[in-house]
Amino acid sequence: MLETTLRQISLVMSRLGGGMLLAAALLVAVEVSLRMSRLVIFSVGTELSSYALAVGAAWSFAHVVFERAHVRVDVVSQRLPPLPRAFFDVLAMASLAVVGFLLTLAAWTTFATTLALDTHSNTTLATPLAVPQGLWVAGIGWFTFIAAYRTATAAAALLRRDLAEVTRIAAPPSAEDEASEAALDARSRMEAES
Amino acid sequence: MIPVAIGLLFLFLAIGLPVAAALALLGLGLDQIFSPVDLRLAMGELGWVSSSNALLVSVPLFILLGEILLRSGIADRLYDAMSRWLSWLPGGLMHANIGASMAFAATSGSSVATAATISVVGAPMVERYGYGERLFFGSIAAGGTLGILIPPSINLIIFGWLTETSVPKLYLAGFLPGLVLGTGFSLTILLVCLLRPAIGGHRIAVDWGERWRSLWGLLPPFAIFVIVIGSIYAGIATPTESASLGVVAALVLAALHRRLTVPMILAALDGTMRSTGMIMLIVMTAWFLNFVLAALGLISAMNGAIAGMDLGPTGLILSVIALYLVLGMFMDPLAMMIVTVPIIAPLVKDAGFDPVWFGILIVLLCETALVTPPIGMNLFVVQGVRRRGTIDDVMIGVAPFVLCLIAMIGLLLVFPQIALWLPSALSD
Amino acid sequence: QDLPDVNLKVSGGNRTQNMFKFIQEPFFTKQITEDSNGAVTTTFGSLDDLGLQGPEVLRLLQLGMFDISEGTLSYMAGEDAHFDALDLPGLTADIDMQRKVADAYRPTLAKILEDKFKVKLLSMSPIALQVIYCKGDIKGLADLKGKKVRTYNRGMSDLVEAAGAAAVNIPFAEVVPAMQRGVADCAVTATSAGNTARWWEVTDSLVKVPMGWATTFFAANLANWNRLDPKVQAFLTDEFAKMEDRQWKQAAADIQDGINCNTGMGECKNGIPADKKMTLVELSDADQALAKKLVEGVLKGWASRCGADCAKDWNAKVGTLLGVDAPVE
Ligand code: NA
Ligand code: NA
Repeated sequence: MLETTLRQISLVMSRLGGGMLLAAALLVAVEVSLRMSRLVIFSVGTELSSYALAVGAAWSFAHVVFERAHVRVDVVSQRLPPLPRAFFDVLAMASLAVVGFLLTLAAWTTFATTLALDTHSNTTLATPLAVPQGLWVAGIGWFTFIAAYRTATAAAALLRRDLAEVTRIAAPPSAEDEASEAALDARSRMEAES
Repeated sequence: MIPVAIGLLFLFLAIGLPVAAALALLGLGLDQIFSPVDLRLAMGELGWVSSSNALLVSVPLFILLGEILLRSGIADRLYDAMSRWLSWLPGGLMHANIGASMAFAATSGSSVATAATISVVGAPMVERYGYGERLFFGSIAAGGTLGILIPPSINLIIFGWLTETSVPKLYLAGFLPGLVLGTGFSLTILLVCLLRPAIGGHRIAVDWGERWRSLWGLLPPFAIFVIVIGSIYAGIATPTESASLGVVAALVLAALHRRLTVPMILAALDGTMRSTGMIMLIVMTAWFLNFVLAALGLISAMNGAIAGMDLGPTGLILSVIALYLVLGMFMDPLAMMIVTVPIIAPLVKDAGFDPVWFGILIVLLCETALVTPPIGMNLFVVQGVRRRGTIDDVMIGVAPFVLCLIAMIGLLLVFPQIALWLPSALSD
Repeated sequence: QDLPDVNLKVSGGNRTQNMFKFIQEPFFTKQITEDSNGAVTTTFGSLDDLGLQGPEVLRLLQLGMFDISEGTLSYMAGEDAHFDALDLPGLTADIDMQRKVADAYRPTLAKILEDKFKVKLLSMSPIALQVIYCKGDIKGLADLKGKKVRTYNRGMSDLVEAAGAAAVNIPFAEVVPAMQRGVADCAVTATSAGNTARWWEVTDSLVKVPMGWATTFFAANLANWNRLDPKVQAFLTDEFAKMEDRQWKQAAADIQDGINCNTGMGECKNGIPADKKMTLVELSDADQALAKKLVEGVLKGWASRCGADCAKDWNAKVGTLLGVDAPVE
C-alpha cells in the first residue's frame, strides 16, 4: 500500500517534471515564431528551459529509482550466485541513498544561501533563483527519501532471504519480465493502429 | 593518485553501484584521501550549475521528440518502410539505424540525444524482425556518436572556442568524415552479418506495391527533419531552440495521425523522464568528479606531463591519441576536451598540424570515448532505453564499431584531406 | 625575507583570455614562488579546468573550496546589485577614467565582499572594453533599432532595448552559429575576446559603444586568509597590487589590439588578423547624445535594483567622476 502510494507520487512528480520541459518547448516555439514574424521579440525561453531541465530532471530521479533505471555496469555482480548478488543489489540501492543524502545537504546549502541573499538571475526576467532551486532541492530530497525507503525494504527482504523480492526492488530490469513487457507494448501499439 | 582513482572506480562499478553513485563516491573518496578541503559542499553549487546548463536542454527534448514519434506510430511506419527496402541487405534495419542516426545527427548537436532518439524508435524492432540484440543496439550506440561529428555539434563549438578555430570551418570539415564514418559503420554491419548471418534479422517477402506504399511512412519524419534543420540553417532558431520546434512538429503530426491523446503524452513523458533522470544524475556527478580531480591538481599535473615531453610531430599525435583513448574510457568527452585541449592544441599547432583537422580528430576521439567501457554515456543511454539483459551486451555489440572508429582515426591521419578538402574548396 | 611555506588553492579565469595566458598563469605558477624564494606555492586551475561557468565562483570561495579566486563582477550581480556598478553600459570607453572609477568604488565593493560573502578583496581589473559586433552595415547607435542583440546581463539588455533593439539570450557557445545564420544580428563581447573567438568571420561592424568592462577581481576566503602568517599576508597584498597594475596595462593593450586585429587598422600583436576586415564604428556626436539618454534608463533600472543608499554612494564616488547621476528614490 505504502509502496503503491510512494510510487504514484514519484510518477506524478516525474510527469510534472516532463510537463515543465514540454511547456518550455512550447514557450520556445512560440518565442521563435514571434521572433520570425518580428511582431514581438522576447527572449525568456532559454533561461526558463534551463530551470525546467534542472528541476524536471531532479523530479524524475525518484521515478527512475522505482523503474530501476539508474544504470549500472554490473559486469561482475550479475555473474555471482543469487545471495551475494542480492547483497550487491541492496548495496547499489544504498549507494544511491547515500549520494542522494549528501547531494540534498549540499543543494540545501545552495538554496538557503540563495534565499538569504535573495539572489536573482541577472537578466531581464530577474528570476528569484530561490524558486527553481527550491523545487530542485525538493526533487533531490524526495529522491533520497525514496532511495532510502527502497534500501530499507530491500534490506529487510534480504534478511528474510526473500531474494525474489530483492530482485524486484533493487536489481536491474531482468531479461525475462522486460522481454514480455516489450512484446505486450508492441502488440498494443499494433492493435491500436489497426 | 591515478592508480587509486582508477582502482576505486573499477571496484565501485564492478560491485554494481549505479554509475552516478560510483562517480560521486569516487569524487568524495579521493577528496577524503588526498585533500584537506571538504568538497562535499561544492556538490550543491556544481550540481545546480551543471544541471541548469542551457546547452543540455536539447537532450531531453530530442528524446521526447523520439518518444512522440514512437507512440504515435510514426516511427513504426518509418521502420516498416525501411525494412521493406533494406531487408535484402545483410544487416537489414541496422543500416536504417545508421542512416537514421546520420539524419538525426544533422539536426542535433549532441551524440547522447541522437543515440537516445534512435534507440527509443529502433528498440521495438529487434524482436519484431528477429535481430541479434547485441549488434543491433551496438549499431545504435555507435551511430549516435555521429551526432557530434556531423554539424551542428556542441563539441565542435567548444573546440572552436577553446582553440580560437573557426566554427563554420569546423562544421564544414565535419561533414565529409561524418558521411565516411556512417558508411564505415554500415560496412561494419555488413561484414559482421556476412560472418554471422543469424543475427541479421529475417527478410520480408518483397511486394513492390507494398514497398512503394510504405514510402508514405518516410514523409512525417522527413517533415520534422526539414523543420528542425531548416530552422537552423534559415537562421530562425539556434540548434538548442530547434529541438523545441521539433517537439511541436511531432505533436502536430501525432495529432494529424489522430494519436495525440493524454495517455499517449503521459507515456511519452514517462519514457523521456526515465532517460533524462538517469542521464542528468550522471552529468551532475561527472562534473563533480571532474571538479575534484582538477581541485586536487591532477589535471594540471597531467597537462604538465604532456607539455613536458619532447616528441616529434608523429610521436605527439600518436601519444595524444593514446591519451584520449585511455582518458576516454573513464571521462565524459566534453569534460575531457575542456581540461586537455587548451594545453594540447597549441603543441599540435606548433608541430605543424592544421587546427581544423585536429578538431575533427578530437571529435572522433570523443565519439570513441562515448562507446568505450566502463564509462560510456551512449552505452548507458542505449541500455537505459533497452531495459533488459545487461549492459555487457551493448558493450560487446559496439566493439566492432569501436574498431571502425579507430580505423577512421587512422584514415584521417593518412588522408587529412577527408576533413580539410571541403572547407578549403568552399573558402576563397 | 623569510616566509613560512604555504600552498594556496587558487582558481583563475578562462584559459582563452590573454589576461589568463600573459598575467595570471605566470603569476601563480612562477612569479609568486620565485618572489617568495619558494615559500609560497599554488595549486592553480582555470575555470575551464574545474568545469565552472563563472557565477558560482564567489560561493565556492565563500565555502572555502579555494583560498583565492578570480571572479567576474557582473556574473555575480544577481547576488548583489552593487556588483554591476562598474560595468553599467554606456558610461565610459576610456580605460584611464575607468581605473579612477574602479579605485573610487573599491571600498564599497571590498566592504560588501567582506560583510556579505566573507571574502577579502585583493585586486580588481577589467578584462577589456565590451563592444557590439554586428552583421551588416551599421552607421551608428540609431541603426541598432529592430536588431536582435545577444546580451549577457541586465544592464546591457536595458541599454539595447532602450535603443529599439531586442535583447536575446543565447548561450555563449552558440553565439557564432547564431550570428552566422542570423538568429542574432549583433552580440556583445570584448574587442579582444571577439577577435580570438573569430566573431569577425560572421559579423561586419564593430560598434564602439561602451557596454561595460567585464571587471574581474581576485579575492581570498576570509577565514583562510586570517590563518595566514601576517608576513605572508603582507607579501601577497604587495604581489597582488603589482599584478593589478600589469592587468590594467594588459587590458589597455588588449582593447586596442582587439580593434586592430578585427579591423586591420594598425598592428595586430596577440590576436588573429581578420581575413574579412570589420568596419570600426565610432560614435558620432549625435550618437553620444543618444547614448547619454539611453544611459538614464539603465541607471534608473540599476538604482531601483540596488536601493537608495547604494545609488547615493555610487553618485558620490562614481557619478561625480563621470558627470552622471543615478536617480535616488
Ligand atoms: Na550533429
Ligand atoms: Na568511455
